Amino acid sequence: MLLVLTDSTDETANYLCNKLASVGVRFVRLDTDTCSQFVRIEYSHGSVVLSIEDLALPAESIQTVWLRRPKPVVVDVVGDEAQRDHVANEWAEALHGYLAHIPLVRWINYPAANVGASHKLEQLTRAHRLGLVVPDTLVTQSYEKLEAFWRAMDGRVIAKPLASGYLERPEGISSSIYTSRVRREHLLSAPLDPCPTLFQEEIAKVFDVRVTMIDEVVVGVALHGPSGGDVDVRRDNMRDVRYEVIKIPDSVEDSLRRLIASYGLRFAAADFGVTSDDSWLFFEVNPNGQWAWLDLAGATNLWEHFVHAFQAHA
Amino acid sequence: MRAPSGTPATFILQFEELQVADEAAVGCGTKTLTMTREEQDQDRDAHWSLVCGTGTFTRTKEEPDQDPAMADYLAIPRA
Repeated sequence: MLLVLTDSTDETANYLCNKLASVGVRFVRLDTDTCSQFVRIEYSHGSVVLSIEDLALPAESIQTVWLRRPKPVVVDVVGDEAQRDHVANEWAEALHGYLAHIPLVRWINYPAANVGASHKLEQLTRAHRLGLVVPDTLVTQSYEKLEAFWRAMDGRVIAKPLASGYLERPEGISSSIYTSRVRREHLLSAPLDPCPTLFQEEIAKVFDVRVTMIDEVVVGVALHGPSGGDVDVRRDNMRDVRYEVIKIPDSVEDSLRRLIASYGLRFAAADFGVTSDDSWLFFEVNPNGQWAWLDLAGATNLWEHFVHAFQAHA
Repeated sequence: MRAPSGTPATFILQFEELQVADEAAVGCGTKTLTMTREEQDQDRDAHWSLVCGTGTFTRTKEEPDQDPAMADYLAIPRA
């Protein structure tokens, strides 16, 4: 059985589950934000079983787990906040206990592998060591070091968030921080000292590439921005971006495969910038990155590769 | 569109931009599929426990026998 471990609001999970149903792949979707209402977990005599109504799923019956951004367990019980937290954590630990019985090789991806692959700076270090070309990078809180870097790069410097570029506010007003060009006027217009900040040389790229890897499958899609060589092609919800499946250079693909394997990932989405002389520069890898939009844009059928991957251990 | 704020608290915050809703994308129910912004690619719950809240894991005083770090071994990642 395929277990889809996700959240009730995840659109990518909706998309792939619909596809799975359309081709007759059996699966169980477990939305962790709602599961406490209808799931039962029992452990007895060394065997752990998760039940959903009449369907009993011993841990050993799970052939593959697709981990797609599950959220914290939500419980609906009486009590004060501390008591509700306690119940939620007990629920979560029961789920952990169940899931921990499923061998690592059956996960796409195993959560701890995702964690290990989720740090931009370490990604750059490892990618460089494995043969990928990475942009010159500086993380600093020192204005003097930033200015020296900026001069060394002839002013072609970008800044981007280390963790997330999304600011969500309770009142519903959200904002984003995209990869942004650092002009001279930016250097002193905000304090650098309070927080480490990531700077990179601005790559003279002619297009971006999103490389999606699912087990042995590697699919490269060029993202041609409306003005060509956009610092961040994701602006404006990628409106007017043109997609094109392209061949990845063998040396890049080889290094990327080794990078992904080194993290123990079966799925990953990596970003590159390609220059006019066909140099591929590695930006980052997203072990739980988005991919379904490429299918919806008509560029790919990545869902089919997921189906194959799900059936690899069936 | 710039965020409505005064002097940014940190360097990177000077590049903060208000998010403009994409009515077409929302309307067809594919919002998260069509948006590939950083926050969408990044799994922002990455460093939290897989399905847990985080409060008790940062307070070891109440659970001296529990190693709070162990509770995160199944954590999902940011990116």
